[in-house]
Amino acid sequence: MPVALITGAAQGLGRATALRLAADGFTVAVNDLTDDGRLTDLAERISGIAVAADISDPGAGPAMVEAVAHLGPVEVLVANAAAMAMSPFLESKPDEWWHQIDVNLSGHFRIIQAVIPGMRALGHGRIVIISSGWGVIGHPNATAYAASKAGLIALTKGLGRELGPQGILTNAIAPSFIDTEQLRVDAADAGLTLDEMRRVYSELIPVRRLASPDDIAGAVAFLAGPGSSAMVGQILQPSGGVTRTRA
Amino acid sequence: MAAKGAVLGLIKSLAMEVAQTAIRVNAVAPGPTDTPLLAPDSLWREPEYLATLPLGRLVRPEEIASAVYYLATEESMYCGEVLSPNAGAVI
Repeated sequence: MPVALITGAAQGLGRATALRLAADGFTVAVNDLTDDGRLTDLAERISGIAVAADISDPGAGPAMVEAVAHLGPVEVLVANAAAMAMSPFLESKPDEWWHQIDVNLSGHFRIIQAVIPGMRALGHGRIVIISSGWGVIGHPNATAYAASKAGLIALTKGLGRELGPQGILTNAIAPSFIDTEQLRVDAADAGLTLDEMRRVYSELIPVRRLASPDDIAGAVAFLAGPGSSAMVGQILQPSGGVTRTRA
Repeated sequence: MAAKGAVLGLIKSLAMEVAQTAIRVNAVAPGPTDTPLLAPDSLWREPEYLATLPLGRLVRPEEIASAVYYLATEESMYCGEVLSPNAGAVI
């Protein structure tokens, strides 16, 4: 079975993607920062493996690829892990800025470098990068996050052009509001209940509902599967209209 | 070209107009595709042109069909989206 590696898979979108790709016939390696039990539980449930690592650590990418090598080369990489900190730009601390760039952008740079040789040996591969609607249209008080996600869009386009001729297809997904664990954090920050937070966000979304993790996992499955073999360097935006109609 | 470009404006406007219903309006913008519409002597079949595409080949009709199928079956969060199975012709 082809091997898929997913970063940031302990919860939310990454977890939903792991379940979907496993159902689609992949052997799935799931990564997250640490394993508090959730990663191992998920790996057991899908007969995959857990590879905990902090992807902002320069050695993490090669180490993870090495750790899954016995399953076969990574055929699909889902670059999903992300750090986010909200603050007004003028109050942003350099450490917060660099942390988000280090995890979201540079961490995946190293992992992508680590998976390319195996994909080249196979003659094909898929790199699915999770960007963000905020990387497309920007967002107040989230400039570092948005900049890192916009960087991933340029990375997607550059890799699409550079690796496409080798049969390695790189595409990205730029979702908007997703109904994940992050919503609880947002609600707590805003002093709202979970349902109130959902209503506030829904008003910002033309289709008036948040994406479910499964909605976005479906987009990953499309980009990882045979149906998207002519897609390269593209940015899918299942954002309920937030980005497509404003950008 | 102008007519096909205008379709993108049309679908974005229409998508917003019906966004709060269960109707989704999206587009597929194929690249040069290997169908009878491309004449045998078409410039888009020339090796010099194909070499400019990241995938180095024409799009196959079934690759357009799979994009349409995906939008038709997992469409609920796509609103005014443009899917481009184009072999990298436009990135």
